[in-house]
Amino acid sequence: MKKNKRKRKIKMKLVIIFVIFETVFTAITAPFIVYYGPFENVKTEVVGSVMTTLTLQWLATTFLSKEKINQILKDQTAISIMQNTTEGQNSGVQVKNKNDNSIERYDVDSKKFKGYILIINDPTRIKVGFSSKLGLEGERTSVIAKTNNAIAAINGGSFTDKVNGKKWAGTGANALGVLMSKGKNKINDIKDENVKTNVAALTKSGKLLVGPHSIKEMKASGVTEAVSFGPALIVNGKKTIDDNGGWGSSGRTAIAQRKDGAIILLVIDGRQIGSLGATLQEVQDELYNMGAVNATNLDGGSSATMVYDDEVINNPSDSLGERSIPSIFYVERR
Amino acid sequence: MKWKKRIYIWIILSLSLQCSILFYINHYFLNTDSKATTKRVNLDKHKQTKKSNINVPVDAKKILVSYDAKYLSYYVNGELKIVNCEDGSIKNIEGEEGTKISFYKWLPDRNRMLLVEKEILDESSNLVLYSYDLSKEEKVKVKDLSLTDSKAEVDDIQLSILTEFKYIKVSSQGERSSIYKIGRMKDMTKINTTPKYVSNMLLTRREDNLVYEGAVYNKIYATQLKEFISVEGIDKLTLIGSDDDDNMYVGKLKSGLVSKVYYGKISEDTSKWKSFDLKEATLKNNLFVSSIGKVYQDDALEGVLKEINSGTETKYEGKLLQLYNEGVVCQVNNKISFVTFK
Repeated sequence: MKKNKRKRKIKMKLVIIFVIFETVFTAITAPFIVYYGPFENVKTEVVGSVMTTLTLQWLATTFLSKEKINQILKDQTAISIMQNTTEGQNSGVQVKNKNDNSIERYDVDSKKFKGYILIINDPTRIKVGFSSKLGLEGERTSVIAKTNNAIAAINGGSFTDKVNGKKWAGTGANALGVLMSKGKNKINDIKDENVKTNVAALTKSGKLLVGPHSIKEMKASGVTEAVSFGPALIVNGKKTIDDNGGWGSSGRTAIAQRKDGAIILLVIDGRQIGSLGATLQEVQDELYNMGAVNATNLDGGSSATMVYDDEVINNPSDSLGERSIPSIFYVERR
Repeated sequence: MKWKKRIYIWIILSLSLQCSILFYINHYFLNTDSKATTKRVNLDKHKQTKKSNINVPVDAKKILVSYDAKYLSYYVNGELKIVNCEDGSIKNIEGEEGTKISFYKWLPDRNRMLLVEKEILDESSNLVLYSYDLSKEEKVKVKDLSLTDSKAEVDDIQLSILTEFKYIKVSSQGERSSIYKIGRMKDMTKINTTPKYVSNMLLTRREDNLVYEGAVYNKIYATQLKEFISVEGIDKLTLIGSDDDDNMYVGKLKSGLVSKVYYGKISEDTSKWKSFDLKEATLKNNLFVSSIGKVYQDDALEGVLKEINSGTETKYEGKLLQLYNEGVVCQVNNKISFVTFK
């Protein structure tokens, strides 16, 4: 009897020591295998995603030097910066469906993200909308869309997240770069008309401009709607990103144009169970497969929102739902 | 078994497990060559339906409506129920296994609520904060409060939908009020308050400044201010409400009744604040401030809600429960009805 009891006690002790050993050993070796091992995708994914958060950066900085981190992030973006050809951009695009009022919806399902696509056949319906309290506070995509009586909308361009020097306290009040709606400049940070910055802009005839453009170029092209964001993902039918883009996986918003002028709006859910998010390359590939010849990334993360007929059809990642932002792209109701 | 051999086996076990998991993630999950499927979806139009009168059970407690009164919520037997005011359907909101929903609050501008779940039987009684979207019927965890006091209960939450800061007030028998701040990135910090017991609190929308009232001496403080807010040397002030422009509305308290209302921005000196007298002194609970800065006074005996500035009166039947964006929610026995502002 006593012998069996002793045997069981020894076995229990063994199991406990085993569990403790494995936990500690794995916790110590895992970072090294991830950061210095052969699993490239995991490494760039972890570094890319972790460095965009506030609270988890230590997961990378404890094990990798700043130079190494920058190298991993930069390695991915180098190719997208080189390709900024704007000669004859949109030369391949012919707006064919000016009076076609149809809108199509597609849902995207992949192992690591869920996405939503709206295709608007008449590109002249796409406009830039903005918060009615620009400078004071931002508004939700669904609210700005409703104010403009839009049938559909996605969040738009860039804005500052700092308030009084405090990060993550932003209310979406202040857009950065350019913000043009119906031909009027609501915001323009860019003092030099000749400086090229990444934009997502639409001309009066409905052509989408993406990537680096100067104010002067946009004026010459007859741009009436514009926000600042990038990078351009597809230019003149060519993909710009060869690797995952270096920004990790996250919620994404993008706008693109097909050869026949139809506009593609894309939003991908991120930072949640069931949808980790997409890399820039995945966004690019999805748009390319839908026939886009010009495409650009817009503000993603917690801002990624898609609205159709007063309903938010994606799942914004912030715990309170839609984020308050300064600008959107909307589709005029017809 | 020799220990040396044992350790070798354990090391190999851990490394091979890690490598196989990482290999799967690297080659299958994160592999950008793997295809996503894209499927066409029907776009159907949804129709607007009119609000109908709602019946609630006799023992319904804490009846609240969402900002546009599309949804109505109440507790029955400790269970949280949500009624869709457009079609009358009723939904049961359940906590995770073994928990009950001990507190909830509707967001001020959307059909979403914050829920606090508390374990029913466990001594540790951990409080967990969730966010629940009504239209999608999705519950998302916001934060594990992980408080050490097992008797702690959440009794108020104030939040800003712009900065996304959420302030959670927790009270426990005999202990001082504890206020916790949770940010957009789910970081949590404890706030130090000057008074031991805090009654009312309000959060500014555009910046991170919590205004709160001491329960005992009715002095009003703000987290960004060093001193309590002093208005014309009045001894007791109570917080009535705030508007979307971040004006705070406070009432001069005398013998428990509010006789005069002052309002202005916390960042400004109170000498710049505006004020108006109330024709009839009343309890703070009979005063309401709307998001656009309209102040209403309720006369429960007459069944009339008066907008103080314009004098417009809205008549209602029964007991006034709360205001929503377009009007008043009132209750007669177990019937809830909605009366739009005049």
